[in-house]
Amino acid sequence: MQLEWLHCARCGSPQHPDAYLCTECLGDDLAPKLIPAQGRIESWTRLHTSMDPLFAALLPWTVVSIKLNAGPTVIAHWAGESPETGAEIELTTIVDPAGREVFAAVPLGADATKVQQMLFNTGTGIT
Amino acid sequence: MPRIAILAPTTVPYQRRSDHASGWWIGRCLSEITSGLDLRKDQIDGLAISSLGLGPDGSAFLAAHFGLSLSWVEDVCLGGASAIAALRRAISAIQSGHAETVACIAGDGFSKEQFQKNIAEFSSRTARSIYPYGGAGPNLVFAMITRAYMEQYGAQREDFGRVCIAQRENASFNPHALFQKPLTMEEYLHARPVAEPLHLYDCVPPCAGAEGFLVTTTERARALNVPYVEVLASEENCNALPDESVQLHGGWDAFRDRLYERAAVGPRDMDFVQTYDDYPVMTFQQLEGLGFCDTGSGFEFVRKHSLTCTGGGLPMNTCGGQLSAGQAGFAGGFLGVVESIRQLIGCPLGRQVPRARLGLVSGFGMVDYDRGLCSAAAILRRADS
Repeated sequence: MQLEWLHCARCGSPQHPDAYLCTECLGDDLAPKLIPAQGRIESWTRLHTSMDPLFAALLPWTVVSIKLNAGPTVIAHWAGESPETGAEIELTTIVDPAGREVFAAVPLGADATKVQQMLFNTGTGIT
Repeated sequence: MPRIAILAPTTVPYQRRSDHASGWWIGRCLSEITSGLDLRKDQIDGLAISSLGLGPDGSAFLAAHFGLSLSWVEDVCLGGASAIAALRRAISAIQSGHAETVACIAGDGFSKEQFQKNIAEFSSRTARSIYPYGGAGPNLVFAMITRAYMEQYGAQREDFGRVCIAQRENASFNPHALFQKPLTMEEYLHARPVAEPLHLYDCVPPCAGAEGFLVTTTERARALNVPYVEVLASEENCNALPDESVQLHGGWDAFRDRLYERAAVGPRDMDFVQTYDDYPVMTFQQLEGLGFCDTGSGFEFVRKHSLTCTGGGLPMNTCGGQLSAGQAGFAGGFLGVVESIRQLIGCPLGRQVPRARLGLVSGFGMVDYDRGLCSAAAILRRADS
């Protein structure tokens, strides 16, 4: 599977999810390009408290830190059994109940199309 | 160039909740500083302010609130690095002749609503790429860092517990600390989970309060006839290692050699250290980055060395640190500087570190997305030595 990811048209660097300009060359022409959606878990946490009522109702809630094989690091919701650092994953995007497009990770080989349903019991998981 | 003195360590006692605005807390601290010194407020010509919840009222607006006419004002918005940054900017201002007597103050009120808003919107990246992942704020970020540190180096939960327990013992002598009751390892390990592997005692209790100090020339300090300390060296760094996928280093490694070279002392000369202890894992990274031990061995260091004021090891966060005293917004970064001054002039809130002559204080702040961006440190010395 592949993901659309912002890249700098000038120097080709993949960008942080929230880039004003290219972090490498300060170019301002950022455009999406497909990258492989695979990566590894760098760290993870299981939350037992939340200030957001949406998540307070869903606790405990697991979040992972992912290093994509293509370079970028991202924080993502976890849709799987207990995560393990170093485990291979696939990253996808879903829409959370607040309408935000967010990242979610599944173990490599799992069905990434059901993630939205699994996590939030809404939608199909494909955005 | 004039020699610089830091004096008038001042704390406005913390409260768990407060209806008072941040500006009120800052003003109370200014009032304490002037009354404690027998200094007229028109003798202050510089003001450096740090506050998380001040809203639109920056240092210039506060000058008007407090009836100050100033030749130099500065807003220092660097989170837990603010105190050392304010100190450094005040020193530059005095040595450049822009001001002679600068009050550096941080203060914040505390309401649950404001706190939640601050956490959700701390930076644009945090608002978009951290908060939507569970609404946990910095607990999420430092849980990731703590687990990565544990798995990379082999630290155990007990190692973080040693920091919390030792600091609680230090806090037990500090009447201002929010938490003074001794903490046992049993209680630490069985506390409720917050963001695994972080549990309750790994997380600072947020509160309201203010901390401040005065920076001036040694000449002026002697005229005021109050004890003061001198700054041997200080450093700061922003965004040291952007490519580290999980933050296992702050920016201290980047300036450590220059810091000690300029101060002409080394880590082993320090009689105490005040780290920025928002989470215990960061105290390990500071002990490592500032040369008290090797990278990845901070947890082993605290197994071997007592951190209490009178334990004969390396006294750390001698008033209890933020983990026990509380984190009053950006005043959290001031706690270590104010306590260092107190230790060095011999009037601590809690226990005195025996024969304290040299101390190191460290700051860390501005958590953006998955890491803290600002690191700072200063080496302070008792003036009569």
